[in-house]
Amino acid sequence: MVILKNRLKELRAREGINQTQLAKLAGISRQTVSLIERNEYTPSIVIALKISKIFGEPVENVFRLEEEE
Amino acid sequence: MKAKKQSGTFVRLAKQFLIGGSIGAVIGGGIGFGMGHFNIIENGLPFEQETVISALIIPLRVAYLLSLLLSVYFIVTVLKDYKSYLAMDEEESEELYRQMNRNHSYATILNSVTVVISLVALLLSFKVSLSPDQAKMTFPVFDFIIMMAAGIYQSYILKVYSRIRDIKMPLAPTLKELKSNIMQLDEAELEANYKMTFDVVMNLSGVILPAIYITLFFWSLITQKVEMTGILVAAVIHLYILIKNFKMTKDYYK
Repeated sequence: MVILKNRLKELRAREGINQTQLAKLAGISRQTVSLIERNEYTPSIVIALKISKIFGEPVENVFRLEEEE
Repeated sequence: MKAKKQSGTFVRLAKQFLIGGSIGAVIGGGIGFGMGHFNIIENGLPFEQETVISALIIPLRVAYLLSLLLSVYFIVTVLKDYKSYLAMDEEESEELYRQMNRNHSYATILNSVTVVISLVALLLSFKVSLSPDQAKMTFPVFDFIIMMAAGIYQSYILKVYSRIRDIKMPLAPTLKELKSNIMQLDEAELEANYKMTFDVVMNLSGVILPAIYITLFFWSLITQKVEMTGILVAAVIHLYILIKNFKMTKDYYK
């Protein structure tokens, strides 16, 4: 099975922003940020691009597909 | 892994007829036995509607008081958690944030359950009897007070929601405002709502409404009367769902 993994937590720490701040910047709720970070929700392309833009990274540096058994 | 071979249409239909027929035979047999045993055709039902309502009222009142108390318990927990949440470091508060929102959601659901059950109790107990020289009305004040209290408490629940989510919401929203608030939810919340709604609609049209039709059919057999109100209510809900399917078709195949 292929799942979407991400570096949100690491990038938030780098930029010094918390989940609430990231949620406000991306226009989503804190719960959604939390779900994405825990790989429990696959965001839409729009949200993925918005989040990548906030961190100033290309989307493939923030999100990646991983094979899992 | 070897895929399990699917049975053909004929076999499936035969299985469904067999299962349906067996269930019908058991229920029909039970009803036939009951009707014969109590001689319902000549004597009528062995219990009065009034007796059934009186027997139902106490469990209904216990149920709505319990759900109201539980709802208040969850809101008190949310308020306590909110205090701790504000004092906590953002990175440590993730679990508490989830727990707070979850408990708030439980409080909202339980309060809605209170409103529904108290309304049922009120409608079952309310009675107006008119005769040429007098009019008599029985009005269950306690059920009415609880229903109104739950309605007012709903506004407080919304106020707590606005506080913990740091958003502005009208405290007595109309149905239109509620729908518009739902449409403002972010995509993960919307997805969870869509899943729940889909599940509700599928269960309604595939299980609950057919079960209501079957129950009404057997009940009509017992009472020897067509349960017109019940059949019409079930059919209106069913048709409403089907008519809404036209909108979905139009929206998707645009």
